Amino acid sequence: MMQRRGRSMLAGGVMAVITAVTLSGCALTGGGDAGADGGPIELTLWTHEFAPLQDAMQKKWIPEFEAAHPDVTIKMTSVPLAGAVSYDSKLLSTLSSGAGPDVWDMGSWNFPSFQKQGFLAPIDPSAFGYTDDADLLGAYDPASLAELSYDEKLYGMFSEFDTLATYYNTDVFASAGIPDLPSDKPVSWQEIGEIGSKLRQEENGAVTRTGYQFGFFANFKDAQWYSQNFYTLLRQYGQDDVYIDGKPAGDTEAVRNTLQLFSDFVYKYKAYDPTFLNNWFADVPDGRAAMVSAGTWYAGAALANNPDFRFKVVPNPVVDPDDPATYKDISYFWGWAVNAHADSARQAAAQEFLAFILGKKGETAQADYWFTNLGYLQPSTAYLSSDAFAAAIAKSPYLQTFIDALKNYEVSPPQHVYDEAGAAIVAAIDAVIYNHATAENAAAELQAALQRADG
Amino acid sequence: MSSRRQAVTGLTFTSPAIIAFLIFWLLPVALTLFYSFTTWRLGSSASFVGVQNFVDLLGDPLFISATLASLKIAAFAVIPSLLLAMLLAIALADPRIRLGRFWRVLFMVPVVTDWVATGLVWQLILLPNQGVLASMAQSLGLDFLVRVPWTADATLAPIAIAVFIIWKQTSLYMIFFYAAIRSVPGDVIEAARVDGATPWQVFWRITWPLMRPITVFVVVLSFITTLGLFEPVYMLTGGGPANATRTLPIFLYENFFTYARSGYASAAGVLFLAGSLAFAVICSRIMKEEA
Repeated sequence: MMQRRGRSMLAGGVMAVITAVTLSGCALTGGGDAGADGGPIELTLWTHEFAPLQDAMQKKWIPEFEAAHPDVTIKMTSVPLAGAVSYDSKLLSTLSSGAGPDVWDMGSWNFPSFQKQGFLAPIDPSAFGYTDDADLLGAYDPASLAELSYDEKLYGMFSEFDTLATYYNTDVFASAGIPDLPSDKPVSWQEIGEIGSKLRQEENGAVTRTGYQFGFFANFKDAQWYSQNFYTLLRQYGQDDVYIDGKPAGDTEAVRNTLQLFSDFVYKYKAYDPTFLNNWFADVPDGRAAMVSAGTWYAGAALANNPDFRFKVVPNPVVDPDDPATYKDISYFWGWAVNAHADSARQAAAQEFLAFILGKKGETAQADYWFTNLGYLQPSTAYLSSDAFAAAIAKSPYLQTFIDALKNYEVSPPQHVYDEAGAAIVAAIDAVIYNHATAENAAAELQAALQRADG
Repeated sequence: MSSRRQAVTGLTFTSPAIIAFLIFWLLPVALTLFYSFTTWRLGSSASFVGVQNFVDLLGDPLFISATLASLKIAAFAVIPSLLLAMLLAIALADPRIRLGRFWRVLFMVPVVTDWVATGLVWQLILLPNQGVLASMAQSLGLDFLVRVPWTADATLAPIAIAVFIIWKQTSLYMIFFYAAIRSVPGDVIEAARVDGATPWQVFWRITWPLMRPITVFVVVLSFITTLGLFEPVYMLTGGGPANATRTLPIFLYENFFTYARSGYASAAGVLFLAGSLAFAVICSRIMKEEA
């Protein structure tokens, strides 16, 4: 009897110990192996979900890096940008807990706050073959460094840097008898709206084609795209941000004009149908939409969806083509970051990995791979002045539109994306495009929301 | 076995569940309560602000609209869902129904499938112009339904979410009702029938009163579960259009993770928990009084 009791106590004790050990293991593990003792290292790499990026990593860079560095393995995870749990939220929560990936990519909007919160390790110039921070910073176009450098140090490496231009499906234009858009000068948003109106198609009561695709729609409610399209227009109408001198400025003429233009595209021109669009990279290639404003990275993903996609790229529309002061656009960039909480060995391995995939001082082969295969432009002076870059432009002349846009347009990143002001912008645009709100009412609501967020 | 030794043995065997409960339920609740009185922002340190977060929440129009949106969706979803579940349970408990086990398994399929996966399917069903519903409407000549923006219209979006929830959850409640109906002693029902009671009288005067405790339980469960649902709202509307379906879980999630206003979100979570507990207590009081 006593033996049985003892056995049952022992079994219960074992279960308790197993549970405690399992639970503590859950809490403590998270990153890869430590590697601080000089042993093998498993680096955790996170990227946003973008098929060409996953392919590049899994088929080229990770196998090549692991072959060249037998003591380091890379464990890659890709997270949907705007899924049930968005990439940004997942990054923020995991980094806040002191864990998180060793190296990851992220949009420009996260760099200022992540740097402020101490999540980002400074980039080690020596890992990239530079003598010091000044040498590294000097290798890039100064205008491109705004969101990545703090106190003369770089806290991220470029994944891609470009701006937006307009892609259009030439077969759709030809079938509708619409002449090609000029490639040397932007057209006005009003003209795009009118062309989009002609390109809209219906069959038996159902919409079968919409003229223009903004970056956000009912099935893809991503704040990044609301913000990018909003700020493009806002700046063209003469206002830089929804805050002026630190005070909310959501109910201004520029904001009202911006919201009115979204409204016009939906209701006046019927050029943009946010409930019809369904697939970012397939709607234009498959002819369900005719035009889209996108970056250099669009072509690769669009052609993967439809290899027969024929397109041209022209400068992004502006509110007044005759007034160069309205030639404004957002800069679009993503960067690579290294986890400041990782130990020194892991940080060094992460920086070595970035140097391997992005190239060291003077190297341009890596940058050329990213540009020619994914349209990811790294704005290093070495690459922009290289023969490889010239050859890439000669092979894909449409890319020149983006290079010209970086010169001809005043570009800067949108100020508010994944924050309360960004959410207020989303709500204001939604109000005009879905709820038929007037631009005036939506602007007043935006102002009230900004004041609440400010208070 | 002495009672003391019995207690120790029992505690030892239940310790895995107790430890899990403490770590994964009680500790987070305690931390949420603590942080609700602070200015904590995710990634930063916290400072004590007393009840300021609660005061701010009660004056925050977004919190109030989120509460109303949650209640609206819960009302749209729970009432039809429970009625449907009851009808299905009555039908399946009828001995004349053939292949009863098959139907029960079939009805459970939505319950055991994933919210996100089925959410994607429902996106495609509800998509205007190209979706399943639009195609069906078009083939039936109901052209006025082809372009209806089910998830992009402020009035329709809460209904669309409720329909998704009804489809997904009804069978779960049906199983509870089915078990309750089956637990009613057969001889009591038989006696009533022999005495000339109609099927309606049997249900209303015998089955229903005996089912009342489980019904109250299912009402509480369904209402609180629906109020706390995040996935169906996020999958179908993301809280839009223009905040029309920004429910409490979305409000909490966005404030906590997107805006990093973690103390504020914790306070909203505490209010949400308090409201849910109050509802459960009221329902159990009603049940006790009726008993």
